[in-house]
Amino acid sequence: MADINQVVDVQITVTNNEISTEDFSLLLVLGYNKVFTEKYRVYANTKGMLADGFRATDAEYLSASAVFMQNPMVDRILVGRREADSVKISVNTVADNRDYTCTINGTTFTYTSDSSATNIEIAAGLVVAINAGTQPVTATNNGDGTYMLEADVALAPYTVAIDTYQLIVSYGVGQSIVEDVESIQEVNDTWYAIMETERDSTDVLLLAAWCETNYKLYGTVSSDTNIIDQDLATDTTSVAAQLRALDYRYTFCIFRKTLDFIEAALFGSQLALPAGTATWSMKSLTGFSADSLTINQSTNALSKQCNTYEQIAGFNAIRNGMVFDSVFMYIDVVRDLDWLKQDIQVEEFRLLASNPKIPYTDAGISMCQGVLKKEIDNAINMGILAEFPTPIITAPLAANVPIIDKQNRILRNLNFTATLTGAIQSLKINGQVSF
Amino acid sequence: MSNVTKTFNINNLTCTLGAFQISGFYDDIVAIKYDEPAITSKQGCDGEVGRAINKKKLATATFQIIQTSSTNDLLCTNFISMRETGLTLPFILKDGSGNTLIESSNAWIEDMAEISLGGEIKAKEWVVKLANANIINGGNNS
Repeated sequence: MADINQVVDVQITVTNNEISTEDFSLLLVLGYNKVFTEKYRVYANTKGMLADGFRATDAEYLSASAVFMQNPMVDRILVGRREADSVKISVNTVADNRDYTCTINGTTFTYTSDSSATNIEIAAGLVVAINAGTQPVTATNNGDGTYMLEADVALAPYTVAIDTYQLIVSYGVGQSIVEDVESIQEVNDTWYAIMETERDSTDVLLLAAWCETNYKLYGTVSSDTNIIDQDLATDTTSVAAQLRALDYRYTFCIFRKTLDFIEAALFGSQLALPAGTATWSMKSLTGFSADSLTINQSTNALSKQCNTYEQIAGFNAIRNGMVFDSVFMYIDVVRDLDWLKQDIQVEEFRLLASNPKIPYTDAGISMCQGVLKKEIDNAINMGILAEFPTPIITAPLAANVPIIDKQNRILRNLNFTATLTGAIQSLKINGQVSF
Repeated sequence: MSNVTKTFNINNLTCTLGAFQISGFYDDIVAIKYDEPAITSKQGCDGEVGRAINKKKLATATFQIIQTSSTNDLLCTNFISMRETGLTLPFILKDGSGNTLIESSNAWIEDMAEISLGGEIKAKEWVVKLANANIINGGNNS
């Protein structure tokens, strides 16, 4: 039988113009949890977190709460899960004749306390119940009213839900923080900002180094008093001093007298704003009281480009919205230029991907130049680049391009020079009056 | 020096609208001009002169394309898309043998060119509006 294709041949080409890009308003909150086994979950409010099994005292919940109480605020965050093979659970509240439960991967194990209950007895009872089951974890009684759960296979995720009379007190490290964040990045790389809830100084430095090479904006908090009590030359041990010495562009730190999740609040309010529209300085954050610092303490922190949250003329404000890099200096500059970089990349890629061919001729180079011009103008409209002096774009003539570049189909020397709009964050005014 | 000879070579001229090259010119290649003068002046009756400098950089590029050129198809397709979606495209006209450069990041075709068919080959006139156009009106290098 003849095929209809021999008579009418239909070929339909699909042009896919959707390009996966980084979301410059998306924050990843990285921490340990046994609530879910996926690498991350997306949350648009804290109610969803409670429904999933987070407790209102969990670091991730407190971070999300800090994000979602700001105005403006981002519309969603990612909560990323660090791998923890083991988890330590404490029986916090002892009650007689009560069912204590530990639910692993959805299977509930119960121990009913007797009429003279102790936390040691309850922990031991739960350990026996869990080990009699078939879940891929082994429980160990610590003999002090706590017990451990450990995965039978390293890095095999499992969920744990316990009743309100118990508490997860610690997690055993499954892998390094870099491996944790990279495993999340493998499945979702659309987020731009990151914070983590543990603030271990070794991990802070590791994650900061990782962010430098992966172009992610990292915010952390430190309560190390060396930051405020020692000047830049004296302080060599605080996280802020070390990050300043490393001149890191993608990390900022906020000093707090008491550790909290104020970086989540700053992310939540500032990531909600489009690139180019705001500095991260002088921002008041809902739900956080200001630290009272002496002028000397404040100066010490700011000399290391470590931010503070202080009261200025009755107004609680972040000072000074800085990263540790001595050239870029400000968080908004880093974010704005990353936005511009991605915008140019995406539109040039779209030009290459959505046309059958961009010829290596003066006309083809002009097409690439035109896209660059459009994005530079867009950056001016966004408030990232200054309109004056007028940005200059230069492109080579096809005739002047080395043959090797033509063979390799690489267009180089499509360049631009432009001026950042910058921002005013302080004023010095001199006045003179006379009779 | 008066005995220097410099050359404009049309082969070094490129004109692109988005990812399309405009070619197939009739007699003249293009006429481009800002829509409004950058500086207007008024002399008062007593001789004092006032000037006003405006920021308006809307320009108009008018092309005469030979009726048989496929550029007409490209311009027509783009015009239809622009009318339906509000699309704008970057426009660049560059004289590779000189310094003339016209850039606009947001250009659009103002209207469909008039169709006039007859016994002779005619031109189709396309008008492209250039928002915030940067115009360098230069000469030739050699």
